[in-house]
Amino acid sequence: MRARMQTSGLSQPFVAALLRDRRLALAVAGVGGLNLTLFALHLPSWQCPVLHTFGVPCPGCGLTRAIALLVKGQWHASFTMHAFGPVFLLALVLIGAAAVMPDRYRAAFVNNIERLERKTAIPVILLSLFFVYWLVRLLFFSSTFLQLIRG
Amino acid sequence: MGILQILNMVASLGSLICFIIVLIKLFQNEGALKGILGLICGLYTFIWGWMNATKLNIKNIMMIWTLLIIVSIILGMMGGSFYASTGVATP
Repeated sequence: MRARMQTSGLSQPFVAALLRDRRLALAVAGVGGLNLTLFALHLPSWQCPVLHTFGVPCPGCGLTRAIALLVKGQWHASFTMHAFGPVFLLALVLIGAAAVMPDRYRAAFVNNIERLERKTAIPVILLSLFFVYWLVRLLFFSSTFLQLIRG
Repeated sequence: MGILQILNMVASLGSLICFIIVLIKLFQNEGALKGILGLICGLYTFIWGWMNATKLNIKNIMMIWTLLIIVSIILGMMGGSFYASTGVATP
């Protein structure tokens, strides 16, 4: 039986909602993987609209590079680029798993994720930390941050 | 500032406007958390926009956005990039 989920507010288990939609999970995992591959091959990849227009990095800028560095085993460089690289890599792996998992395992998998979200509010905590991290970098380490992101 | 850079800036601005329009739709239809995810990761907004383009009647916006992204990439490759942000590896 599908668990009822709210569609508004900050307490909703939104990761589970994303995983439950197989089409969306497949699209996100596929495009995310493609973006990483393009970047790794030094081909043009996704450009942040905010960075590209104003030259100011958005909270997510650097994540592709951080994940690519993490996959290559360059942990220090990855953390320097973006400390949330591991979190988003884990999210990408979970989304990819949910996208290809057979139905009989998928429901239990997504329900477990939802239960974890409801108990711990991890997404809200992580998102809050994510924004604080971005603000600290932008306000107190701006020159280093900008140089790192712009290249 | 060369003509290529000006064109790239115009394309970037157009891309940003499309991003904001789709992001607003994302907030309205999926709630705050997914909206924040879309703000963090413009790529998610782009994917979500295409997946819901017909339902929300934003197919034109998505096509314009896609075109502007391609134009920005081409102009960037031609040397008109205002900011180096095309996924070039950093040391």
